[in-house]
Amino acid sequence: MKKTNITINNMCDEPIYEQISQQLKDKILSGELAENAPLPSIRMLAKDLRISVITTKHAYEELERQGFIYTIAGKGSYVAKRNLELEREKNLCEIEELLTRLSQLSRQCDISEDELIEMLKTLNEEYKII
Amino acid sequence: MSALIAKEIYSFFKEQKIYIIFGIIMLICALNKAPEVYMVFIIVSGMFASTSIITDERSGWDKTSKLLPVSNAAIVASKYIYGSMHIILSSALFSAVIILSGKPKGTIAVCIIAMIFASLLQAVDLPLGYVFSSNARTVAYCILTGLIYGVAAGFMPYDKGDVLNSDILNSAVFKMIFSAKPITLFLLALAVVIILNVISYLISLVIFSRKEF
Amino acid sequence: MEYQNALEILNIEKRYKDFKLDNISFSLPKGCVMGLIGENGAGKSTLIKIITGLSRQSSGEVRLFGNNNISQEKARLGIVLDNNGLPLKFNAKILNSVYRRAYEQWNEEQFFDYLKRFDLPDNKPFCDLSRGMKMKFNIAAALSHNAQLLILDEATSGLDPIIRDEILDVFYDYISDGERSILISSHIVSDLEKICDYITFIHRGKLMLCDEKDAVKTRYGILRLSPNDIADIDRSAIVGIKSTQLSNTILVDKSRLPRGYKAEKASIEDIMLLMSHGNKYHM
Repeated sequence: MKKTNITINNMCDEPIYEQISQQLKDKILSGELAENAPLPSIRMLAKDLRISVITTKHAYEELERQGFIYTIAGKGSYVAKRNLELEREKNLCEIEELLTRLSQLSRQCDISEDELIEMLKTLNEEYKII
Repeated sequence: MSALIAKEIYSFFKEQKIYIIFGIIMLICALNKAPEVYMVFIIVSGMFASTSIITDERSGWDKTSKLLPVSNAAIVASKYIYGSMHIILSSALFSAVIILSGKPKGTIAVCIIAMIFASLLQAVDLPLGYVFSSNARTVAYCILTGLIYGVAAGFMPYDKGDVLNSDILNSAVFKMIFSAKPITLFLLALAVVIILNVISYLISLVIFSRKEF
Repeated sequence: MEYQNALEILNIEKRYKDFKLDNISFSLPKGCVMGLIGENGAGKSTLIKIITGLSRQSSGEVRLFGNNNISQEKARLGIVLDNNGLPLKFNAKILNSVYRRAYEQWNEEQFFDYLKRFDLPDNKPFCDLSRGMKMKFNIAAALSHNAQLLILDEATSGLDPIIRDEILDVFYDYISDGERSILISSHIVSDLEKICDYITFIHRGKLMLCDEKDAVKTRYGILRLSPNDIADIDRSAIVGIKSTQLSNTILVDKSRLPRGYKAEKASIEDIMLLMSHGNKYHM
């Protein structure tokens, strides 16, 4: 099994299990982890990342709940078949929620639409570099 | 329990090498026409069990052994068995040597008396050991040992050949005991040793079971 | 035999002349690692002595693997206290001969493997070993008889960071089958932050906290406020506070924090320190 490259940032606010599930999600979406590819066991992952088993379990439970992975008792977890339609819909929902919040916040501190678009453009530029 | 007894035996060979040399010297004395100084050796064998408890306390093994899957009864019993092994073996060894070296049969009585005194020493000291800390017990132990040795000295022979030379020993009771066959005497003494140790063991077990580490 | 919790502590009390372990209750589920934290003298060692049978509780019950007769379960425990004494003249080989008679499931090969891994000599007498080496030795022994519950009391406090990390690796491997559990008490909290699934915090004999580590870290945060600003916060949000003349470092329950306040992430050590300070403050 290839070593999964997941990094954890102890300093940032995001809970560790979320960081893990997010990074694994990214890998699944980008195709780095193919359909039906096995994931490291929760205990192996915990050891690798030097975190608790409950954390990795939580991360996997999140992923399973969102339909990204499936688990076979006694064998482990695997990448689920991708349902692109479903994924797009879910992402759209999340984007809508975030946009609502974004709109609220920008109104609270008086940031214009143009400023927001600038900020988004800058962020995307940074992503491209990475 | 075999683990605990194994520990005692390993400890003996690792820590008491001088005793083995002492034993060899005593054996040589016994084989020759030296006075019955080896009686001291047999009485000393009664000290092994309590010495073991002191060393255990000092090294911390007493705590560690309590964590092993062994019962309190086994922990206490292992000390008694170890000590009794010493007492009985040394007494039997010297009795055999006496027979082989052709000394008067009555001399075996010395070994047997020594065996009883050693058991008395062990039986009294072990419960004391479980009650008091090493330091307090060391004082009590010295006094007690002194007393027992003092009494035992009364039984030490002074003349070669004639073992029994004190008034008590010349009384009818003792004359009868000492004229019995050595084997009978040995078995009787063994019974006394066992009874002493069992009573002492029960007392020690109660004390040990209440102990907090 | 199936069991759910490797360890259950039910209303344990232990009364000494000037100290009391007061009504401690918690459980350690199978396959999990629990960190027991608290200052020196908090009662962690007392509690561990009760669990391992070295001491008797004044009241309450301890259950190991569901069994309330703890002396029956000693074979399934691997115990390392902060000073597991060993006979001074003994060495690894001799101790192996003793332990293999004591434990039915003693694995000689595994024991010597661990010794090699920890760089320990086979036949050097214990009186010649440093404290750290004796500790590693006892850890090796505790891991070599298929114990289902490892209990460690300040077992890593005398070791350097490199070997502590190595031992952490060993622990991760040890629990990899999901059937074994670990209870580890330490006042070096950073050791525990990584591997622990649960954190139990004992302070002056009382149970302050027992919960999943992740939940604890999510729930609590740190705010630094001047004395004036404190009044704005709901008193019930304040779990612990350390006050100086100029500012206050406050441990808050984030769920009770009014909107707009952002609490910093709190480490387990922060939580321990601030909780032990209590939550009384003066306006």
